[in-house]
Amino acid sequence: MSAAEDIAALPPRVNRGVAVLGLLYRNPIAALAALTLASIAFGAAFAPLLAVADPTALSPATRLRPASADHMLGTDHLGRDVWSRMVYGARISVTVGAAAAVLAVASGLLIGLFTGFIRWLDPVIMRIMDGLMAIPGVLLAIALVSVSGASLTTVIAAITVPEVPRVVRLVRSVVLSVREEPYVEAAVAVGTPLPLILWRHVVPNCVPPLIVQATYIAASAMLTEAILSFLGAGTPPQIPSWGNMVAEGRLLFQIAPMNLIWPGIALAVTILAVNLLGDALRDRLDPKLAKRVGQR
Amino acid sequence: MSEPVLSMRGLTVRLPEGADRRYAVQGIDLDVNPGEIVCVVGESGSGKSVSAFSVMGLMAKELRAEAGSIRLQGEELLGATPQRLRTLRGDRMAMVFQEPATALNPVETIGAQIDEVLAIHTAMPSAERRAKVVELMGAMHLPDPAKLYDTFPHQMSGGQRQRVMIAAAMACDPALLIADEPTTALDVTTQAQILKLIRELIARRDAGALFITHDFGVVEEIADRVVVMRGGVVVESGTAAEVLQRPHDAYTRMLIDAVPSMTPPERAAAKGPVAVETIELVKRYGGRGLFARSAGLTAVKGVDLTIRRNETLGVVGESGSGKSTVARCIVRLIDPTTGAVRLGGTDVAKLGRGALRPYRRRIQIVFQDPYRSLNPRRTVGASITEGPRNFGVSRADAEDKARRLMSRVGLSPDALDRYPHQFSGGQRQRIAIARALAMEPQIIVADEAVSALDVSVQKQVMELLDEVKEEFDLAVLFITHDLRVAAQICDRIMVMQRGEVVEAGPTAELFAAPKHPYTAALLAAAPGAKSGAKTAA
Repeated sequence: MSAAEDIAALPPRVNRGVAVLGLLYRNPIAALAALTLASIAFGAAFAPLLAVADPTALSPATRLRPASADHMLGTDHLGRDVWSRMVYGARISVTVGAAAAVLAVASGLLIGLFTGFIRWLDPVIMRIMDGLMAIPGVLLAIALVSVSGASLTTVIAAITVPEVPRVVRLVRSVVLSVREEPYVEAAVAVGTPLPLILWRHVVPNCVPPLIVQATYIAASAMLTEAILSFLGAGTPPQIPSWGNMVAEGRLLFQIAPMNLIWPGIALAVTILAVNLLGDALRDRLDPKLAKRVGQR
Repeated sequence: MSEPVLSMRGLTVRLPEGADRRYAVQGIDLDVNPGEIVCVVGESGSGKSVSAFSVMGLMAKELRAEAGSIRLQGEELLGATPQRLRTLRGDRMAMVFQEPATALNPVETIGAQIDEVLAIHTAMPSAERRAKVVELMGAMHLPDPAKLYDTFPHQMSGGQRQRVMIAAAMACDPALLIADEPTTALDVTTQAQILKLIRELIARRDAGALFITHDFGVVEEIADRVVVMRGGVVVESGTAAEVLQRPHDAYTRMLIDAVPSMTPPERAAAKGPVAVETIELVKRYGGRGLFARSAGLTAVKGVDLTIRRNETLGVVGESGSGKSTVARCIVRLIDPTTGAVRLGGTDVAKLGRGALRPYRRRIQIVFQDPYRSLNPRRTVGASITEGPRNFGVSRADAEDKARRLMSRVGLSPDALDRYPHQFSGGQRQRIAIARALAMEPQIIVADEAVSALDVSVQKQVMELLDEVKEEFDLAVLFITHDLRVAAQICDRIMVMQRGEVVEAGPTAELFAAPKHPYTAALLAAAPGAKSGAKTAA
């Protein structure tokens, strides 16, 4: 027996990249969100070209001007061009969002893999994570910033730290279920060293939920940065950020409401776009949801 | 009396676009008479479950009945309104599912779940219903029904849960009982009891039963008439005696021949050198931990075993017997609590990760579930070459070897760059065997390696295992719950119960004259055991 079985009729391979593109094609909301984020990222990257003036140049003579040909969105209480501050502010939000997401996911992944695979470490690390989770994120961030001084780096660190426990829990849960999979045990049996097992067999299973989690972290990081700036505990005031603009705009809201409203809209739109994209990715990448959504 | 309970004529169900065939079932004719059990037999994908579900009106939404009729006591079901079907379900037709653990609601007491059926379909006051539920549970031979009324599903055994499912199905005295593989998830001894119970109920209540199964042993035990399905069409039907003794269709004959016989073939005792040996192997779970404290459970209580080269040792037992734990200790996927595992002259039971590594390649494992034992994200080539590459074999050599092994296990070497989901279950199990062989092991542990496969595929994979054992001079530890499979492939058998070996010996001796009562009970319970009509293949 053991005649070669017919495998010619097997279905062709499916490319993962094509699947994501297909998502954007079929889901116009996700496509719109992706487009919005792309243009914000573009604006942040080419801020020096898009800005009409130095975002920090003071000009007391032209304070609180309404929108005009020179100043597309008017000027603020120190005569700085609001449009230019908006595009430079996008840099802060995008940087904070992306950096916090990448840092939290990377460190969470690393810690999660260790806790999931090294039995005796698990209770120790998880109790530390529980402790971190018990502290409100913004309070922890304020404490960190006041201890180490206000700078973009401390703000990013302060936002990242409270997000890490959530990623650790996510990764740990994936690791705990994948560890029991026969294909992981088979890899143990053929003598694959632990780091390679993690890299080949475990990490790929963590990627889809982590992509989704990263979008939520990015959205919440942008919001936290704005809150910290608004409270005066965030990005130093000389740096244009949307949070700082809202904080400063608040003082003169009655006279020049648009100085608060523009950065507010920018924040809301960006965070909404990130969340919508995250939801669409989750629907697509979570096999349980993907089936249900696909039948609709 | 003469009118059939269920009469199916020309039932044709369309599959959605893009499926592997156009119709799930095509032109099915089938009758179930009162007091009769009709078995629908077929391998996975034969359409047997679709036929059953279409009677209940529980078909998946993408499926559509295109033609034919299904009559329940003369009433047409195919065009019936959802309201009418709902009234009929539970009252005049009822269903028992394969997995009793998931078919019961875990947060409701079992009494309440049986009561629900009565509450919906009858006007009985609640006190009367309770009495009726207790009476039903008694009729299912459940112990102490009045007390059991308030227990939850997780407090019961699998067999008891299936009895509860049957009690709920029989609550309103339905004319038709549909059972979809109701004993597949159960141990053999429990299976025998449940089959007996269903037989008894059908006879006493004069109901008809449509019994879906893949197991010809079960058919032999329970069927009055048999319908054999393949690829959505009926290939043969007739009385059980006719079909089992004188099958007309070649496919039916192949299926019946593929069922492993309970009569072990002649086997010479292996005389090769000892490949692996365990001494007083003990595995205890729990009982210690930094934050957790539990009573602990001893899964394996001092097991001694020896396997020689070119020998297959079967470890047979029901769920919870510790047979898989023994396998996993030997492969060192888990660490034995005490005892020794000797490979050659070395005890590997206590070796650390690094010291163990050279011994890893000597002992390989093939798992039960072919869908989970290969990483779905890696090509089968990557899976097969992973082991040799770990031990410094060059990529070209490893791939060359993988190609040869693919041919050896009966697959095309060109399929190495494909992904596991592109293969059938039997093909994946062959790939798993190729992966094990790639390490050039001395010992292969097959942990229920053929249990998830259809009989025809099962036979092929068993033959493959037997062949490679000879060819590569392997010691095989074959873990199974299925005595028929064990009879065919094992040179010696060890029977385990609750972590202990109750009996061990050459296969033929053990089957001919079991010494321990548990072995005897297992042999008696094996479906199709009593007829003994079939001889060794």
